[in-house]
Amino acid sequence: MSVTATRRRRVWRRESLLGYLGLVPVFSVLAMVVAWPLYDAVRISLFDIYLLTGFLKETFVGVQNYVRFARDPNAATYLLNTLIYVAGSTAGQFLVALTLALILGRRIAFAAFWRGLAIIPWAMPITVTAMVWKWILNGQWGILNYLLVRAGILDEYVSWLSSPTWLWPSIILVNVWAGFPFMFINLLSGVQGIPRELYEAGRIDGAGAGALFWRITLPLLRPVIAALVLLSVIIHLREFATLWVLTSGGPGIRSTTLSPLVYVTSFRYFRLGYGAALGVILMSVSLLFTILYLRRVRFEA
Amino acid sequence: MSQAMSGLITRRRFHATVLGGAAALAAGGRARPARAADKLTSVAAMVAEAEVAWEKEVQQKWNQANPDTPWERENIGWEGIFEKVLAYEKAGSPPNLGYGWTGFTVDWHRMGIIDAPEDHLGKAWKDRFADYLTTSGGDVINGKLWVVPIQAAAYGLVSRRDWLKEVGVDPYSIQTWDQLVDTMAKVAKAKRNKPFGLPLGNARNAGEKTEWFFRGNGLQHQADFDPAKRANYIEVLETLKRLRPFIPDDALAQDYTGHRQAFATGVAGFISIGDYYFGEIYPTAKKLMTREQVVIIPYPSGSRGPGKPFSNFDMNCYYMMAHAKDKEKTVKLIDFLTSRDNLLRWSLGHPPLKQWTVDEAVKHRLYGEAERWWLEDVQAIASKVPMLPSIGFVAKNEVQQVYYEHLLQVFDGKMTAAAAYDSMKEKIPALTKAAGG
Repeated sequence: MSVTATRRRRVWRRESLLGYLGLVPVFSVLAMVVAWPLYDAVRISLFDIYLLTGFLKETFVGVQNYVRFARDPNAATYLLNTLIYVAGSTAGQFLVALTLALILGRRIAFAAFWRGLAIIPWAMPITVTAMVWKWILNGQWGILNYLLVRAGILDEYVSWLSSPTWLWPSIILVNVWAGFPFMFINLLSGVQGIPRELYEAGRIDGAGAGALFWRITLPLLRPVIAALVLLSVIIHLREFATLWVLTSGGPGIRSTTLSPLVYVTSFRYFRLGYGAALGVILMSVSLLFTILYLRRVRFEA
Repeated sequence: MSQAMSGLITRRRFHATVLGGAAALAAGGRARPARAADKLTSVAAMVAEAEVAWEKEVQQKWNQANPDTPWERENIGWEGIFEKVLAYEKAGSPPNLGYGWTGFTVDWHRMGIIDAPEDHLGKAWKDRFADYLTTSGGDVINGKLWVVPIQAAAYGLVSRRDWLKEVGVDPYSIQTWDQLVDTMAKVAKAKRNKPFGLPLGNARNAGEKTEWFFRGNGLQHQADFDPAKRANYIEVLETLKRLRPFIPDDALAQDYTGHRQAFATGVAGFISIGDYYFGEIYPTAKKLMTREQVVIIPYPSGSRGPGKPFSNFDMNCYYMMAHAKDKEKTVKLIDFLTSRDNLLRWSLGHPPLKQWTVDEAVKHRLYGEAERWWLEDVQAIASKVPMLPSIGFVAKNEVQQVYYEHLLQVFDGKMTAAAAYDSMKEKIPALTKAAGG
C-alpha cells in the first residue's frame, strides 16, 4: 500500500469520526426523547404500577396487563370506536382534500387566494378549533342548531354531541375541518405535477372529464394518495385533543378510542402499568402502519 | 469536506466548542436547583377571575415582604392539575404547595405525597378554621386535617326563583325528592323546557353532581355498597330516572363548564353546585345573579335520608407536599396564606374561618355589596339545615366511571335500578378494596 493511500485512509477515518461525532447530539436527543420513553413504556407495561397502592411501587406481572385488556368487556367498543374515528376521519379528509385539490388545481381566478383560504383551518391550534366547534355544535345554544332551525331545515334542536346518530358524524366533521388542509396541500402539488399534455392527449382521444379523472388523475396520484392515507391513519390513531375537548370519550364510552383510554387509565385511574400496556398496543398498531408507510415511501423513491 | 470545514473552524476550536457547550450545560443544570432552593413554588388550578386575582395579589404581598424567599406560582386548569403535580413528584421536584379540592385528598393521602399542615403549624393554626371543616369531611383523615383551607363551599340547588314564582312554588318548600320531581314537572310544563341541569358528558362531572343524592338518602357516597342500604342506593337511581324527562338530551354532552353555562344562559333553571357559583359567573352574568331571579336552596332529602333538607360541604385548598424542600419556609407561607385578611379576601364560596360576618366579607371580597344577598342566603342555609360533609373514597375516578356507565344504562332503560345496583356491587367494592379502601 502506498504512503498516499495510507494518508487518504487516515484522513477518511478522521472525517468519518468527525461526522459520527457530529451526529452524537442528534442521537443523544433521539435516545432521550424517543428510545428511552419507548423502552420504558414497554418495560412499565409488564409491571403492575398502581399509584394508589404506593407511589411508583412496581410489581412484575408479565403480560397480565395485555390479557386484562383482551378480557375487558368494553375492549371491542374501544377498538370499534378507534376504527370508526380513524376510517371516518381519513376518508372524510381525503374526499374534501381531493375535491378541493381538483378544483383549485385548475387555472381559476384568484387561485392563490382560495388556496390560502383552504389552509386556514390548519393554522389554528387544534384545541381552539375543537372548543369553537363544541360551541357551534352545542345542542342548546349552539349556532348550528339556531341557523338550521331558522332556515327551516330542522324542526327542533339536535344534540349533535350526544345523540347516538349524530355523535360520530359530528366528531368526524370537526376532525375533517381541522385536518383536511394537510392532505389538500399534498394532493394539490400532486395534481399540479401531472403533465398537461396527458390531459390534452386524452381529450384528443375523446375522453370526458370522468375518464380523464379515472384514467389519468387518479392513477398518477396513487403514490401520493397511498402515502397520505397511511400517514393519516397513523395520525388519527394517536389523535387525542379533538376527541377529548369535544366529548372526553362520552357519553359513557360511546366515543372513547384507544388514545384517550391510555390517558384516562394512566392519569385518572392511576394504573400506570395497564395504561402503558394500552399505549404499547396503540403504538404497535401505529407501528404497523408506519412500516407500511416507510415501505411505500422507499418503494416510491 | 474537511478542507471546507477547516476553512470555517479548526478541529481544535470545534472540540473546544463542543466540550465548552457541554460543560456550560452541565454547569447550568447544577446551578438551577441551587436557585430553586431559594424560592417556594406552587402549582394551582385557579381559573375564575376572583381566584386568579387573589393568588396574584397575595403573591405580590408575600414577595414584597419576603424578598429572600420569593414565591413562584404556576397556574394551570383543573384538567391537568392532578397529572402535573404527580409529574413533578415523579421528577423528584414537587412544588411546595399543590392545589385541589376535597375530592383529591383521600387519593393524595393514600399516595403518601402530602403532609398534614397541622403537624407543622400546630393547634393554634387549626383553630382558625370552622370546626365543621376540621373535624369532619373528606379532608380529615385519622383525626388530622390534611389540607390548607382556602375556600369553604356549601352546596345546594341554585334555582331560578322567578321560574318557581311563575308556577307558585315556594323555593324552600321543596324538601323531598317527590316534591322536587313534581316541581320540575310544573316548571317544564310552564316554561316548555327541560329545566333540570345535570352534566352527563363525562364520569367525573356526572359523579360529582349526583353525589348529593347519595348523601341525601343515608349513603356515604357512590361507593357505599353496605348491603343494609341496598334500597337506599336503588332509590337514588330510580329518582334520577324520574328526573330524566326534565334533563335535556344535550346534558349527555355537557361537562362542568357547560353545566354552569346552562344556568347562566337561562337554559337550565336548577343546578346542583356550591356557593362558589356566584363568584364564578357573576362577572359574566351580572343581570342574572340577583335576589329576584336566583336562589340557592338546600338539597331535598330522599325517603331514607336526613328527613329534612340538607347541605353538604367541601373545600378548595392548597396541599403541603410531603417531599418538597424548605418545609420551614413553606410553613411560613401557609401561615401567611391562611391569615384572616387573606382568607376574607378570597372571593369564591365562603371563608373557611371559625367566625365571619357578611359585613366583614363584603368589605374584603372582590364583588363587594353585589354579593351580600348571596352570602346572606348561604349563611342562612348553613345555619338552618344539617351540613353533611362530603366523604372521600379511594379510586374515585374509576368508581365514577363504573357508576356513570350504569347510570346511562338506567336512563336508556337498558337496566333497571336494581340490576344496575347488583352489577355495580360486583365491580365498585372490588375497585376500592384494590386501592386499599
